[in-house]
Amino acid sequence: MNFDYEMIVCIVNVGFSEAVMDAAKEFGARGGTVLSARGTAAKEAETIFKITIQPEKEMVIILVPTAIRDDILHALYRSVGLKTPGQGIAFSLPVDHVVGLAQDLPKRDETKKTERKD
Amino acid sequence: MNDATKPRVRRQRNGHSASEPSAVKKLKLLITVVNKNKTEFYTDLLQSFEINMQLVMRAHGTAGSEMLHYMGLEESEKTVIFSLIREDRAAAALAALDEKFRTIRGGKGIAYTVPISGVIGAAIYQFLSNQPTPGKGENAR
Repeated sequence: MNFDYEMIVCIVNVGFSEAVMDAAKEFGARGGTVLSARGTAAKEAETIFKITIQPEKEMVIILVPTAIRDDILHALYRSVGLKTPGQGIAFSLPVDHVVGLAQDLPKRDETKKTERKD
Repeated sequence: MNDATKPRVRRQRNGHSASEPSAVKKLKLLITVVNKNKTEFYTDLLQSFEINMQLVMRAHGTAGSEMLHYMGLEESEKTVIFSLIREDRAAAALAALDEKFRTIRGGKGIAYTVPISGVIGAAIYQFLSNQPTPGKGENAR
């Protein structure tokens, strides 16, 4: 089954949501939504992988056309991936129906012009 | 589950012809992002589409100011509403949301659905899909 849009979820340390959006916008994303969250990774994992896990997280959800999903996921991996201070993970989920996107709306100026003509 | 229900349920399953709708309807996760001050309006609206569980989370939007102005979304304090909806009600809910997004002042938003591949627990499925138990309904999967 083909999906026109995908929802990218990126979970990063607090303060890195702007870096996430900057990376995503470079490849055509238009906007996202930032939620506050708290990580719960196990203490053992911290010692095994020799990393410190900051519990305060930000979860960024971005709706993107499927065509640019891979580019954005790669950009996120490079700029806020696990090996960066953002310590982010990103994944995508298929989206089957969407309403309310900006491109579906009539442009403000165009609406005014048509009103004047009438 | 008592033994008496098993044969009856099996007969019901076998009795379905190919053209009949399946007894088990899939669920979808409906994600709605709206301005914070319109949260209650949209949660109430969604409840009329047989949605029994909603999760509301505070959030903020990240669209640039130019884009926000263009879309009439100056408010950046947002609410994300996660709702579990039965597949056959999703289209109607999205259509209603679309209409409200276009007509309500300050009510602009975005909504989309993500398919859900599995749910564990018959009672939970019945609750989420708003399908009251036919008989014992132990095998609703």
